[in-house]
Amino acid sequence: MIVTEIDEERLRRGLRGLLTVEPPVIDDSRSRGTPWVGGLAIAVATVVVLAGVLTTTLLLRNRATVGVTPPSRPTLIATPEVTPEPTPIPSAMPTPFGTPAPAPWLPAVGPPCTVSELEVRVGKGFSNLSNGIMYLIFTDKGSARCALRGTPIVQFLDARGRVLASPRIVDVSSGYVPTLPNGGVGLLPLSSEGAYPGTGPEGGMRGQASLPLQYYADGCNNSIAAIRIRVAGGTLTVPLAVSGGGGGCQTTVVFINPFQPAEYEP
Amino acid sequence: MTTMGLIETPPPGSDDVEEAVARYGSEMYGLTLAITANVHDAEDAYQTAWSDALRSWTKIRDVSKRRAWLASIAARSAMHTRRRRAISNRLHVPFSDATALMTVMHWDAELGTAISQLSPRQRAVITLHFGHGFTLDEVGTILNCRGGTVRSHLGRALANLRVVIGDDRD
Repeated sequence: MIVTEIDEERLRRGLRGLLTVEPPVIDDSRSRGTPWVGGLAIAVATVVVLAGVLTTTLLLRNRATVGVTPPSRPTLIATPEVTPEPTPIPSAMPTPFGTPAPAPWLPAVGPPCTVSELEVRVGKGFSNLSNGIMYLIFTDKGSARCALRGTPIVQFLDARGRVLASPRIVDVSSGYVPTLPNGGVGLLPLSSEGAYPGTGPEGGMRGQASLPLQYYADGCNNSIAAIRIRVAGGTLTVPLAVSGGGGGCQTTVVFINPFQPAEYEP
Repeated sequence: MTTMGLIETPPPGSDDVEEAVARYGSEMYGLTLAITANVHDAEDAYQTAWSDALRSWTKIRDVSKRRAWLASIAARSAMHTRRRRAISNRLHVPFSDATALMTVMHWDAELGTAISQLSPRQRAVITLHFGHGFTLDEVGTILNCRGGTVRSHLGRALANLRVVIGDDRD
């Protein structure tokens, strides 16, 4: 191979020719804004779309799971008495009103509910020996629309009204049943027509929301007599009893899910 | 060459923007062509370079340094575009020869082919040195590297050019 010396004059001539090539017209729109703004907008839009798709998928799964589960007798011995305690606990309230709800089943409507507007009872539940799920049903008795959102704080009381150290209470975003994101659910007044499934914008019982409680109970440490829920700026207490199964003696664990639309229940 | 738009929305204190575009536009575009080695990326880098330059136009007070400043911006933009291209080429088909440097340098396609085979940094060094006429120290300032590094790039570039052009002549 013959290695030639590079002709620097040729190099100069060739490269100077390159520097006389007609450039393209400058697009001044690029200089008007920072380039990352467009990229950021695209990124935000993508995240919003993905969040919407994900939320919708979760909601559909939630509906399907709850809908196909055959109703059975509640595992709870509940007295349908509601003893609202008008002790507002503003700091303990979940308070997410104003937080954008990621496509709840029922659209969040109106202001947050107040405790005086709400009635709570124990709804249907399902159990399998030492574990199960129960639903606390919240009914809007007010005259205007209000909304419940998020996961409330709960306490379990014994027969003498003392707060039990057990069961262990865990807030969950998913668990026994697919749950809504912590965006919550809007409640419609009961006076609205069509209080049966499917009449709401996305189904569910109009004017009602449910609070799913998944639990792992035991047969030897069953001292739960009531549940106290801090919600809507106040406290609601519902008597209940977890029917112990035959799963052995172990620490009871209750998983508190966010509010979700209540299924129709006669 | 048109400078449409620049007259309508000149940055503050940029009454000489159009003059700079007319004076240095071709040089900047040629530099981006040399570094990216294809027309598409060169145009992209050229637009980005002017966008960057106009945003900080008032920062350069010494007008005599404007040429080197613009060359620095163009080189940086072209290097950045080249890096992005290297990543995207793993997923996409590269551009055709019709837009390659060897085609653009139709007056000496052999030299264009040889230059295309250099590294982007080597192409930047020989273009700034032999094309623009900057000294090696000035090239170092423009490329933000030491003079010794520039000389090293230049030496390797010339050696590679010798090999490629020599191979062609075997």
